Amino acid sequence: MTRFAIITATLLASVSTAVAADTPTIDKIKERGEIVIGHRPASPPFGYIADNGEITGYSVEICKYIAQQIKQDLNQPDLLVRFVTVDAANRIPLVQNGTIDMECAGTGNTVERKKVVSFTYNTIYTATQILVKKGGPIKSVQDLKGRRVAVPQGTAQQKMLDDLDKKLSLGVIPVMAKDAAEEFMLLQTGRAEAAINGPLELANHIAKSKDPAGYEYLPDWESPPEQISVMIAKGDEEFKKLADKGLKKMMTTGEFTKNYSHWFEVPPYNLPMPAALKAQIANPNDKAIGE
Amino acid sequence: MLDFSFLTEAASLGGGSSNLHLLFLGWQNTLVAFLASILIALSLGIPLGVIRSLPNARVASVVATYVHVFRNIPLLVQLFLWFFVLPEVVPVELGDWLKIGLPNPEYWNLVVALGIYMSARIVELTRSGIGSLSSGQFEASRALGLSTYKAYRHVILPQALRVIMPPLTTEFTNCLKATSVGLTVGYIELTQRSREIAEQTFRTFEVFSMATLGYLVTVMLLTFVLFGIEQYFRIPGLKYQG
Repeated sequence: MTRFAIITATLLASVSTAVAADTPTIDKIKERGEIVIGHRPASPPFGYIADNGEITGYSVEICKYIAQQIKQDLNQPDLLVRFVTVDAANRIPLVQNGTIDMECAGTGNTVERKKVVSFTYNTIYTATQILVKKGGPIKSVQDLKGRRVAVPQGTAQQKMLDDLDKKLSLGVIPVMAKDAAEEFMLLQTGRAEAAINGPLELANHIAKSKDPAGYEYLPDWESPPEQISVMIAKGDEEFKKLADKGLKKMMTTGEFTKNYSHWFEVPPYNLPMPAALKAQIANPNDKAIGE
Repeated sequence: MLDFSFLTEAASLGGGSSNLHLLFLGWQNTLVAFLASILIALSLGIPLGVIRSLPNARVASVVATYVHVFRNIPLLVQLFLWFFVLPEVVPVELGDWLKIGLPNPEYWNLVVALGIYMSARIVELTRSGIGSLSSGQFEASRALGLSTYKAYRHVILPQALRVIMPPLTTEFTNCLKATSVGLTVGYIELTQRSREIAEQTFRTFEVFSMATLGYLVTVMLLTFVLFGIEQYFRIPGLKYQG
């Protein structure tokens, strides 16, 4: 038993050294000769792998621009950009332990997350909604009583559904999905009767489904606005300044607006830039949800 | 650096009183799924293993096909086939029942998929256990006037099952750990609970240390119990021919 305790203690100690790795990101980038971007391979439009194999998406393109600026600012044009796949459950630890320098996906900038990581200026605004099949038994939030609701595991949405469930005593049965694609599949195949997520994440899947007109969002519930941003390590002010500088340049040169139009002013979204995002471009901030 | 105080804090998600309680519930689900799966695996695997060892080539080849199909396809793929494909290819009413009518469909999917996957491994284990006995045992039983059934019941199986106890222990521990694939279809077992709590509290390393400890202790206890059974049924002085 003593030997077991020693082994466990050693393991835990090595883990805590991993957590404590606080090399400023810039030194690490110079040392490794590369900027490491964490991306999610199946979260269009924020990040996905295109048919030609290229990693792209709204958030990924923003990060590519930032990376380009970092190369210029550090005066190191030879820096490589490397992509690492992350998921909802491991993205925060990977940013914390320095495996990735920036996480570029649809990650919400929340007060809770800000306790352990940091965010650049916000890059888009969205809100969570609940998707159901049109003409089905669920027409309002009250109808969710005892129903099966698909929820992306390890996300802010899981907590939202939980809170909503408690507040209205709905007795919702959550059905866990690994991402928006699987979540929509659960709804489509009838394994779940509703799905909770951001419309930006779901739109693509609805559009590609057999019956794109057969779905609707519950009209009587929407989460407070959520800011989405690029996640970076906490407490590394110098790197945050550098990333924010790159992002600000993207905004002032009009590249940011161009990127927005490319992803969102096209079907299936057809979303003109909301006033809140225009204000963000004019005067960028990194405020979290509800801050 | 490591801070375990979140364990006693109020649960970050519904269903439990504290985060430790949530983890405990996850561990309980792991255990329940393991026991049900291993029960299916044993009750299918041992009889099929016996059939596979019988001289009837046609029946044995049917079982061999069963083994090849369920042992050679990755468990995760099998789970997805049961979960996402099966309800779509059966008649609509049955499919709907599998998806919504059945209470706790994630649990049943996991248990059936894992049980059948493990059963294919136990078939081979049983067959090789029987094969490890000298063929004279069966022949002598028959010569003494025992029927094939009685020969297996009283001579072959009591020895073969003892022979396979050590590798069977490995299969048990594999099965226990394999329940974690349940998270891919949304079964909330220990690993899934850990991921959820980690995302809500950001105490990833601490949560997974707890989960690791949970698995480690459970597997050690399981091994201990099975070793006890093995010792209890051991025939003193008898050495099996390899």
